[in-house]
Amino acid sequence: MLRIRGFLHLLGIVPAVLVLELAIRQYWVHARVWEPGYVKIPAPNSTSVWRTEGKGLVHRVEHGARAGTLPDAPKVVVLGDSFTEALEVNDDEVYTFVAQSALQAQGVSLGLVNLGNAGRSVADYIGFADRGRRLYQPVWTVVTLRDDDLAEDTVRPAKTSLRKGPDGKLLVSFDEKAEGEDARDLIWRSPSIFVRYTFYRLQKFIDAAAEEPPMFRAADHEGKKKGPPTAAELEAYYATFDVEQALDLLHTAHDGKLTIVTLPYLEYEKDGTPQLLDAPVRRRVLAWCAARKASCVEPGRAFLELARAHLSPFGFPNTRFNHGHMNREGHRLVGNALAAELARLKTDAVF
Amino acid sequence: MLFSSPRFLVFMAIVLALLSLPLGLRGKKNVLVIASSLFYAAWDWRYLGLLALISVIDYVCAEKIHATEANHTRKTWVVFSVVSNLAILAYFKYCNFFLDNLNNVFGLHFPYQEILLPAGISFYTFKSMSYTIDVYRRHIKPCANYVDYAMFITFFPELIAGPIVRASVFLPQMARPPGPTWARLRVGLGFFALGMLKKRVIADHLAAFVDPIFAAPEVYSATSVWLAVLAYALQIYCDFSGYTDMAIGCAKMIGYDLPENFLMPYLSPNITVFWRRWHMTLSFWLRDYLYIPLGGNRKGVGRQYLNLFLTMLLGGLWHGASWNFILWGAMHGAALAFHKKWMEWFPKGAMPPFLGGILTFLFAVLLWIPFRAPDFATSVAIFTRLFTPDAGAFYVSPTVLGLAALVGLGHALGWLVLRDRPLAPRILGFLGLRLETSQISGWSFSWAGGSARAWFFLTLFVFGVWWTAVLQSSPFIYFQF
Repeated sequence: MLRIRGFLHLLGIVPAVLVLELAIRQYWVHARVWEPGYVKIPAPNSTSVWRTEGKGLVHRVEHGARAGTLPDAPKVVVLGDSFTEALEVNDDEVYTFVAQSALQAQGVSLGLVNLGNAGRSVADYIGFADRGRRLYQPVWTVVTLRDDDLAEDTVRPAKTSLRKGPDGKLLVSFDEKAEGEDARDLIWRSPSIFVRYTFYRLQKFIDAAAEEPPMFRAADHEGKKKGPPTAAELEAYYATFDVEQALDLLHTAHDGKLTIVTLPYLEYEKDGTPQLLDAPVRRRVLAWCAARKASCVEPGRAFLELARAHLSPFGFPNTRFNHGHMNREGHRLVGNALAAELARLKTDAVF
Repeated sequence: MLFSSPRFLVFMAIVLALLSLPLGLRGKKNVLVIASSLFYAAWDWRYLGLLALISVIDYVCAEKIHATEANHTRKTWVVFSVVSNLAILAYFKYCNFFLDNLNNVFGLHFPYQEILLPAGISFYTFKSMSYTIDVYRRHIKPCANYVDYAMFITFFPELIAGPIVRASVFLPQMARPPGPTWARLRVGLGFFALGMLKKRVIADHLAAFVDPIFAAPEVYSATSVWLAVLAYALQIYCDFSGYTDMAIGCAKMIGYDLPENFLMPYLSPNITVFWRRWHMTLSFWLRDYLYIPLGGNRKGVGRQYLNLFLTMLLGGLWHGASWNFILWGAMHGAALAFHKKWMEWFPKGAMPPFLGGILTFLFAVLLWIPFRAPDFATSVAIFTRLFTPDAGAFYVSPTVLGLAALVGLGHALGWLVLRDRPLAPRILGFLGLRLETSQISGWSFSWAGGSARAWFFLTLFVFGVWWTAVLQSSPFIYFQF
């Protein structure tokens, strides 16, 4: 009898874990693996379920690319971060698929290979430019950028980063040890989504705990949090990043066969009128595009029209309006804008 | 140090470990005073001196009051205590508000003072004042020594945001040695877990929906703004009552009872009952130390209405130095006075309690707008938006609807418990829980254990909270007061 009582907790815990395993599989399934010599990528030939933000069902093919590329067509490789990986929307809603379909409707047969990978930045797109060429022999490359891809995200030491050399020129720095596999990846390989998600939450918890105010001097910390930075502070901050040189490097790394897509943000005036956020990096990217006569896409006007219809390209019902990643509408607008640019390039016989 | 932060969990574990050592009553009280001081200093050590100053002033005043029978001397010391507390509170909390209004009204140019509001000042000054007043009224005897008083005033579970515990409730409990026992931990963890669910799972998720809409109401449609206002009503309830549950849970784990602060206020049939169920320790404090000294209902009907109005007006001002809080308090005061008049007109009630409950809920919800809005202009913008045909972005979160349903289920269970229906313990029993009632702390539940089903639901609960909680620490709403 005592022995049975001793196992009572197991009789309760094991079925509960099974229930949780089944439940989490409807909500969150995701796997990343390390590709030797490169970085961690979405697991090839896997399926992701992502309902923490939006509601996406994502299928992967080889090399971690998103499913849906036209097989027998010249390839266009699309590089980007989480906005391109787009776990929040289904395969047929992501902008690369929208663009490919729009091009097909115009009689332009191109296979857009979505190699979006959360957390990557322009340093990766420069440093690993040959990966896409080697794997897909593309006729063209698209890189989707936001402000942080050319600023904060490019200088984080634990990631592929851009650093100034002795002559002041930017160099790509890659820390294979930091990017490589470690003990935590064993958990990512666990067949149990219960284990993976619990671990994923633990990592998020540790990240959140690290952001708590300092002990004994929280008042100072609170005092510093006076609100968002002013326009002048932003200008001064972003002036420290050599955006133009980074873009030159990116352009060269892809042999000039490159389209840059920038994603502007929307903000609202006091009376609720939408406008595009006048971000310093965005302004410099647009100026660089104009100066170099480079192929660039910015769906700002379409975003504004959407906002005037009281919608936003960003945010989801289960998160926040106009906040976070792009929703289906946002992807549709970016996809259409990208399709128009690729069609123009095709017409001009650029590829 | 927030109750819901990992730091606090470590801190609490260390405190409980120390209290389980054989240190004797005196030694354990010293541990609690030191731990509470560290808890307060963890926010900012510089305000520890202020807490010490207030505690010394009121300890000495109470001693002096108790030491003499001369009414004049007793009155002098109690007035000194009250004025000292109010002066400190006024300086730290209201200085800039008064200067700002003086500047605006008289065209003066007093500079803005860089004063940071010490955490919990409104709570511990009220608690400390009530101690000297109770000694003056001969309701209690003063503490035997300063350590006892310091422990009462700094007791960390309720130091920052209440509940405002009376000396008459807390001091008698100090005769028993603090320290964790299995029974105390079981009940305390039940309260704490409930608080964590309310704060991290419900309130913080609701905040993610509410905050952007209150920040820019012009962007959103009337439907969305209505939903945000309703969501805020649930958010502030879950945030504050969640904090209170955690405070009560921590105190119970240590071995003390704190008074209950909420009794399902949104199910109140009228505004008078609402204020007996919402932030109960503040309501009763205002009744006993402000409304009754003002004359209460002893000086005629008209004066009673005025006293109610003034009490709530000052109650509003207690929450914060802004015209929004004054408006909020004034409106609640006017509603309480109106309800008294209504009861004169219709002694047997003119509407079914259900309808009265809906009107009370709507009134309370709408008055949360000035309470939550950052300034008066935003309050006006939100009110305007509520009654403007849909023009802005339609943003309705299914998460909010789900959380509202969860709060509704909790209230349904609470309703069964309060009405002593046998179904309540049956439901709790099925979930592997046990109903815990306490004369001081109200009701909660603890884990019953002993069956596979209890382990099953405990596992679901623990991982359910872990998986769905908002992980970024966000301060409790009432910390700002």
